[in-house]
Amino acid sequence: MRNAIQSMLNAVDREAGGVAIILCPDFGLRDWLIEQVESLVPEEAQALWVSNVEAALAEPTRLVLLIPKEEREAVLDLDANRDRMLEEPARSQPIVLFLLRDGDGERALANEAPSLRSWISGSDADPEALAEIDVPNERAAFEREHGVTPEAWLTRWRSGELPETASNFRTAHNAMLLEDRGHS
Amino acid sequence: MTTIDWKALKPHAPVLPGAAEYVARTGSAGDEISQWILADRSPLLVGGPAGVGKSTELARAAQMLQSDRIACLVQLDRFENMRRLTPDRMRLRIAQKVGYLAQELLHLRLSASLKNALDKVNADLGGESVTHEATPSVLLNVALTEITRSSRQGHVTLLLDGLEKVPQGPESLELFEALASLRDEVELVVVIPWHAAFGPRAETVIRTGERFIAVRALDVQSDAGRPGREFLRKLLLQRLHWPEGEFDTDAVVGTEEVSLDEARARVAARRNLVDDAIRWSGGLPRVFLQLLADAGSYAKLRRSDPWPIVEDLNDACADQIDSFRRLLLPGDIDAIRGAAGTNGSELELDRKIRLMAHGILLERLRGGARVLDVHPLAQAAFDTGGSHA
Repeated sequence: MRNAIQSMLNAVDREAGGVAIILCPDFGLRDWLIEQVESLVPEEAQALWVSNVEAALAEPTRLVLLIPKEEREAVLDLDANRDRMLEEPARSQPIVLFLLRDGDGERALANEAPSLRSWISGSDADPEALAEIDVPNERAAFEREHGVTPEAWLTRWRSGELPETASNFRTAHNAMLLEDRGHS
Repeated sequence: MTTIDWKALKPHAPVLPGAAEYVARTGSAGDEISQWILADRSPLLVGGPAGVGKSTELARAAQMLQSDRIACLVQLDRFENMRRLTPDRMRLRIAQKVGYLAQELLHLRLSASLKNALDKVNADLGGESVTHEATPSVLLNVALTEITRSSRQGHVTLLLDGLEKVPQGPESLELFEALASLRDEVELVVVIPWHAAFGPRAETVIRTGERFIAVRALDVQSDAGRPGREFLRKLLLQRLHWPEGEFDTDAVVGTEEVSLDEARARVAARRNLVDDAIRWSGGLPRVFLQLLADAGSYAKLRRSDPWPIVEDLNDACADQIDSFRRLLLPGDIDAIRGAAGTNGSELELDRKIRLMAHGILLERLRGGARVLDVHPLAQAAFDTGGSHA
């Protein structure tokens, strides 16, 4: 069973210099998802926020969080420029494009940008939709895997009882997502 | 267990001319292109769904033509913003690439004037302000004439990649008109967008007599699909730098740690998973590599395992199905169902172009006739309900 965090991480992590898209239902959740991605990627990725494609292409060694002011323009520009990323020096970090669900960018992707769409196919996560759909299953899966509820696991985590390993950080994010949903 | 670098699959990266990773495919478009060019000089237009391997096949054709032609592969999209590409900028880029090939790789003796003109082209493309002695159109044609004359091969073939990304509109027509103004002796192979291949001006995109080659998704079903499945398995092994017999249960040997039966069962399970990914890919190499890259990544994320299990592949498929579902527009599902198994002549043109460009509808040859198939992931997307459709 997929969960929101895994799908989002998988989208970002597919290729060293690829493109991932995160679909956001509103501005508030977009801000939250940007922070989530920024906190989940390793520090050496040196995540950077930009608002246009040229600025994203200019930083091939940093993970770029592209939050466009004009979504359609960004999608079409990325479609028209994506192969420039293959030229040496090839990108070593991905570009993560944040688009509003059902917005101009998503429409442009479906209607005008088949090349880019093909590149990101399967790497266009909609974490909120996944979280909405999967919460009961995710909570059950979490409990099966960890033997406790997300809230109980987080209590131990927040008290410093659990070591700060990469795996525990991921579990913590997963648990926080489920905890938030469980109480909303 | 050893780790596997799933990022090495690089689903978005085409293979370059002469690269060792190239895997020959049955009915290769690269072979067809090179044979056509060697037999005839009419321009060749190449099209196909995104991710089918057009760029790789063009690179293959360039490699195969090298001994008989000055075969110059110009990957315009590697250097240019294809939304803003102008005819003159395209001409300069072609002149630069063919000039580089002639001077640096083939070591042809070019006139001092042409060398000087090419230096200015490089400077211009590098952002410097220069004045050319002639217009880009004249400059390109004289460069092609001199290079043809100076060469042993006596023919120049230009293989232009990236024009499939130009937006629909008058600007794209200007680019094709610019190609039409090239000297007739120059052999052209051009990847074109779907709207150019099937749109209102489709009867002549560049020059009269041109021919269109469709790079089709591989057949991976039933007995007829055996070569396609074999190709994709080899592609996977090449990209992972694994030996050929990796999925062959007969080639397995037991060790002190793992019995022969266990080792065979493991190889068979891996092969089955790869074959499942092949079936879900619909024969599109990029989708196949994406599915395995994502499944491998899920395995690593969830269990720190090097090799995915069925659940990981299922979830990679689910991500792709979501992606396909987002592409469906109102009316698509009924239109797709109506077109499946036909040649698609009843489909509205705009819808057909969009669905074929995305690889939702795949054109296949059956008994010499063209038939549209629905991509299995797209089929799953609308079996579980399209978002808008």
